[in-house]
Amino acid sequence: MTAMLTVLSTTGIVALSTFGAAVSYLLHRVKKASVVVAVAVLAAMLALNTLAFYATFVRHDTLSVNTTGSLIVDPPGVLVAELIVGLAFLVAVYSAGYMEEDPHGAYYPLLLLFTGSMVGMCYTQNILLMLLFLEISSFFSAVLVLYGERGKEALRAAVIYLAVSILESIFVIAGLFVVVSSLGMSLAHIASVNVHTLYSTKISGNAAFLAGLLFMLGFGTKASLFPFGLIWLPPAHSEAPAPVSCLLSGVMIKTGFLAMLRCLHPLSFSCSYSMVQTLMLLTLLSTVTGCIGMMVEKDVKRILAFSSIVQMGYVVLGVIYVLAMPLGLSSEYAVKGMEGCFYHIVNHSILKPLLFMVSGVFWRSLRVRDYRKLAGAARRAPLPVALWFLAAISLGGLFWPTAAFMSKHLVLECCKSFFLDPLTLKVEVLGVYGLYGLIYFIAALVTFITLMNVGIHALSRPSQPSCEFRRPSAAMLIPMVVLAVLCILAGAPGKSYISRAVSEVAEYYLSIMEGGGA
Amino acid sequence: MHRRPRRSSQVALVSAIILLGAVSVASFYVTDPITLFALVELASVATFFIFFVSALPVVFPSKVKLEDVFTGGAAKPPYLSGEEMYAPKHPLRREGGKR
Repeated sequence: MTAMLTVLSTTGIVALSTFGAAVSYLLHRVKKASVVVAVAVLAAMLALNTLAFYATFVRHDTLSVNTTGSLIVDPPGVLVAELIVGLAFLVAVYSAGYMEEDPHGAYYPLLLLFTGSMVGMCYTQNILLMLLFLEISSFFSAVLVLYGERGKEALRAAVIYLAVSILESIFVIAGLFVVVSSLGMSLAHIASVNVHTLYSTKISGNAAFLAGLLFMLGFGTKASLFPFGLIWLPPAHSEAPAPVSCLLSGVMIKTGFLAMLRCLHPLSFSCSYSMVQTLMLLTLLSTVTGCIGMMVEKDVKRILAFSSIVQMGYVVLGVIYVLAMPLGLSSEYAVKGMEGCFYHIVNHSILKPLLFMVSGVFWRSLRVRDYRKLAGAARRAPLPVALWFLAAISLGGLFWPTAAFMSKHLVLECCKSFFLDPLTLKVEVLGVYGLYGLIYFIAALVTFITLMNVGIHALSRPSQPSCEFRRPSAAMLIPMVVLAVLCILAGAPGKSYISRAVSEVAEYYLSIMEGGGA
Repeated sequence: MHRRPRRSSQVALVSAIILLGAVSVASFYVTDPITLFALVELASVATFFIFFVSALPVVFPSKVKLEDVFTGGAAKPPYLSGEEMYAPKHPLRREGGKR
């Protein structure tokens, strides 16, 4: 396959999503036509992205189309894009069973536009284009949040979400201005600032830290980072309809993270120490707040939303080891951290949507969101409850060979090397090293106990027989089973496709570090 | 029953979606920063249009429960007042529609 074909396939995905959205809208009055078009278009998008995946991970091609860095097909972008399109396909199938009616005809077109904008964000390294795709995905997903079943709360969540999205944009624009002014460029060239500009022209320490901090607050907020991530994420993820929550929690926060990583990595050459310390502090606060939220909440979807914040803590912790490399951290740990980070991204993109899909079954079939009222759910919906336990055990990651065990193990093993942490306890407790290692081990424990507690409530016998129950349709069950199979495969020991792909991403970043960012 | 949207508004929405797609794809290939700015601006305009067109009908209720309005012949107005309808707090609207 030629390089041109790869480039055409990646831009084709974005073009197809908008074309599909237009067709889906025009046909929304024909029964089921809208969903059929959406599923078909997403299948075509998945096929196109798999071509790019093959070119990147099998043929080892990294393609850059032009000097502005507007379109770049690299391993991390392709991997996240594959997760986005794959999950969006399953979500469209699930929605066919979950969303009974779409009177305005906008649900499936918006789903396609939202997916296309997230893919666009993965394939660009131009910061202005990243911001554009971030805005597009925020606006379309905010409308999808409005489709939530609890009208008033959904509206409130969408308003908060949009307000925080505007704040994110302001931070990113401010970061861009800092970069442009510190490089002595004219403002007309603000559109040409890309990740390669940041690598090739070294910005001075203070300006690099300020720009990094602004990008951290801008893109990091989308990636659920403290403090603003905690404002928008719990209401938006919990009030959106279950299929939309799957996309928000499963992949959208990862696109925000990818954009943040792309901007911070080149800047870390100039201000590694201060950047690593700030990121560590924000991540730690996110994780601790997420754990507290998980423990106090009674609403299943809000528990899952807080759990996403906790899990993103592991992802960001993995990246910190790469950003600490200019300080002399061994490349062995940087590779392990990066592998763990992307491994956890893949695992979380499989497990969290599965949990949200099961919570959708609880809501749609039993009209229950409080886990204390879930008694008897296992009798009526045994398969979804069994899948809940599978996903809960896997996400907890306390036992070998579950999916998240592999990724968390990789990230936490790097804590051995954490010379940057002034409070590091040079002790080993249950195979976990240092204070940070211990905190993240406790976070894994909290995740496991909280999610298992929900499942146990679903297993218990109801005190009084409830009257209403709507059986989940096959369209809802099939995507859940597919995700469950992927969850088992992700945890399978040995060299899987996933572990090979994440190794490739880690090597890609290592090669950039060894080349001094060139 | 939902009212059928006007054909002109349908055409405008589909045009905005196609414009957004075309501009997004074009922005990947453009090297000139000024042209890129123009494309980003066009994409933003299209996004805002699609956002408002798709968000408004979802926010406002299309159905009114008649039995809630005509409560046994009590002289309640046959429309939704600002006090009855939920709307988010925002600077251009006073609480409960009061002036």
